[in-house]
Amino acid sequence: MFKNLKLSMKITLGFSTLLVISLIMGLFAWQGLGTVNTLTGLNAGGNDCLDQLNQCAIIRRDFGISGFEIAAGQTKNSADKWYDAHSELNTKLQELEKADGLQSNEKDLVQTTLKEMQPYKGAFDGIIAAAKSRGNASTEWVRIGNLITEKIGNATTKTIAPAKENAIKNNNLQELAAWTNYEKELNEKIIQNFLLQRVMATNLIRSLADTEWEKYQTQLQTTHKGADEWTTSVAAVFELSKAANEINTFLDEYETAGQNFYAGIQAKRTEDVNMATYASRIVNNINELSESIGKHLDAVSARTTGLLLSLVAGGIVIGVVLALVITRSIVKPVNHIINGLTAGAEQVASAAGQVSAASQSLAQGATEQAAGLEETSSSLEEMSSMTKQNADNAIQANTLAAEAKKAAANGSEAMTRMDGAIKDIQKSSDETAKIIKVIDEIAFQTNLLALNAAVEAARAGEAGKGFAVVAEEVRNLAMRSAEAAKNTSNLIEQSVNNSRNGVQICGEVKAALDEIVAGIAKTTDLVGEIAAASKEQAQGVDQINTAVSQMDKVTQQNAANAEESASASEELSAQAESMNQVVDQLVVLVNGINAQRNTSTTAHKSRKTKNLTHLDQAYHEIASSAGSKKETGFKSSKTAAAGQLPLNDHEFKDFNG
Amino acid sequence: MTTAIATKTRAQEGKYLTFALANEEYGIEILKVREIIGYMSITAVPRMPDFVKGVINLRGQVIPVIDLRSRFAMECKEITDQTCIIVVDISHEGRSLNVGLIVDRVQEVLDIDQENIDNAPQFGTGVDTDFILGIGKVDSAIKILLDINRVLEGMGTLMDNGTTL
Repeated sequence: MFKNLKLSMKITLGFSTLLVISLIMGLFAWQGLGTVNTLTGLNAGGNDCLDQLNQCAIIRRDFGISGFEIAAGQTKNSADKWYDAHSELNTKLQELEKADGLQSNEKDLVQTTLKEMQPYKGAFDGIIAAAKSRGNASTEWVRIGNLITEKIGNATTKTIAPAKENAIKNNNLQELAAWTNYEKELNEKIIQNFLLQRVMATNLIRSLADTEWEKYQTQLQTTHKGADEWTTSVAAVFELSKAANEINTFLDEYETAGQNFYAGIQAKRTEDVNMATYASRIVNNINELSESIGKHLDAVSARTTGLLLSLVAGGIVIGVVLALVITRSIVKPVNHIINGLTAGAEQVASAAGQVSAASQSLAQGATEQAAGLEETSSSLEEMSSMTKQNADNAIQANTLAAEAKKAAANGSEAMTRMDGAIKDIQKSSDETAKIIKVIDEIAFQTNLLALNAAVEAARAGEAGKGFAVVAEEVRNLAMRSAEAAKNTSNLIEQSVNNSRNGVQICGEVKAALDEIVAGIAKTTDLVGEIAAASKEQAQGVDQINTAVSQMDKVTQQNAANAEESASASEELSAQAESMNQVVDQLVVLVNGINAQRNTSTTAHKSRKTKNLTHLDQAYHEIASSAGSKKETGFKSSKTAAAGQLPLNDHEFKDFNG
Repeated sequence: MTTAIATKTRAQEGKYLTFALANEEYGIEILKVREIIGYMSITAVPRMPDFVKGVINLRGQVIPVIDLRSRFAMECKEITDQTCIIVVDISHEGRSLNVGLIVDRVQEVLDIDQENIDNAPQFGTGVDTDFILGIGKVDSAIKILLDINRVLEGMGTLMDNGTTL
């Protein structure tokens, strides 16, 4: 069944089988890849969640640095950003929960993670609250610090400086020295310590570290001590003492504010720890999820790979089998064709030789024909003039025939008239004959009368003798009359006969004349036709003349063509050679170089013999075609051709499918 | 009439009316001849012998007509314009009666001398030549001279049997 298929069908069938295998492989790969894709997507979702969590951590760190400040180019502060990031992370986790392809444990993991999200947010809320309380405390702290600074400034500028000026004005050096000492103590005991205290506070705000807090506490004690000392030293001065009390009061407030601030720091630390715990739980969950998905992914990809590998192996086996079968089924008939083509090329080569010989003989024949055509042309010219003369003569004959026709018609008419005349004569002859008959009868009766008279005379005897003589005489007269009448009658009868003959002859003559007229009419027609035909003939001869000249040209062209055909046949021979080479190439294509050697050597052999007999064989065949060997030679060549063409119809049909 | 009886056995010289039947010429004594007429239509009479053709009306007189050819056992011939009827007198038991003879043609009235008349030839006892008077010789021709009474012998009886004659 496969053997009977068309070539295209075979190839199509082979390739379609491979295509089907590829399709199946593609389907499996597609399915596997789809699963992998889904799983990768899930993994990516997990990674996204991790990223988002990371984003949350980054924002929290930013918040730690910048607080509620809105950075340049941003519309939201870090806290709002963190809430956005958190809600996004929540959304992503929910999406992940809803996504297909999750195993039940994985789903549980996601749900647990989602549960962790609320406390995580709560921890950040705590951080926010701590930051806010710290901020408030810090503001209070600063305000009080400023108030203290203002009080110190007031003490310096409003109390000590006017007192010193007043002492300078009064030249009270003692007083001046006292005020200068106050100023100096203020400077040493309070201003320096407080400045140091504020620096410590600033350090604490900046670093939020416990070490700074301890430094701050130590300095605070120093500051309190300095303040107490200065308060003691200025107790004598009312105004300064008042200021010192105020400063002490403010310092206590300052300390309280500092303690509030530190409380905020501690609250923040607690929440930081909580947040880190929740975040690490979330991270752990997501990592566990990723790990689970990764395992799943590995299993799916391993399964898909195994399936694909087995399919590839099966496809290769089927493809190899199909390739072998199809190649076999193509190569076998192609080999047949190659054999046939080789034989055909040889035959074409020999045929080209024959064509060449035939072309040469054709050329010779064309030359002879040209000579013959020239003779033909000259004789045609003679013929043309003769034909023209014929036509003229025919026309003259036509006019003559017309005249003859007219004359014959006149003769016929005259004959008609003559017929009438002769009939008249006959009629009058008949009438005369009648008269003669009457005379004859009269003579007869007279004779009878005379005889009766004689009888009567005889009866009368002697007395009737004279009467008898008279009767005799009368009888004689009657006899003569009868004789004359008889003669006349004979004559008239003869005349009547003659005239009858004349009428008959006249009729014959008339008929002959009519025939002549008809004949002449026919002759005229014929002569006319001859004239026309001669004219046409003359035209025809002219045309023949032109045709002959064309033929002459054609013959010359034929000679040229024959030469061209000879060269073409040589070209054909060369073509046969190149066809042989093409067949060799085809053989190489089909069977490879080793096979090409075999066929090419045989082809060369045959070509050599062909070259030897190329023209000789053609001439030989032409010569032998006249001989008796023609038939047997033809038969043998035919059978040889059949032998050389191993591709019979059945096999050819097989090839066609 | 007396002469006719007297010359019974032998013809006498005198005038004879000659006529022709076929190629032969015959003669009748002229005194026996009554009249010569052209042929006229004959009324046939039933129960008559073959040679009696019938009767004619000749100027009021009914005359029997005999075909001489039939009488002489000759072949009958068509009537021509030469055909004539010779009316003759025959005597029968002393009565004379007129009889018409149909002849081919009438010749002439001849005068024949005695020396030119021979007796009728005798052929033998069995052959009757009584109806021939003699043989007339005119120049080289021969005229058979007929005894018309003998020729028409029996006619009288016939006539007697007839109604009127």
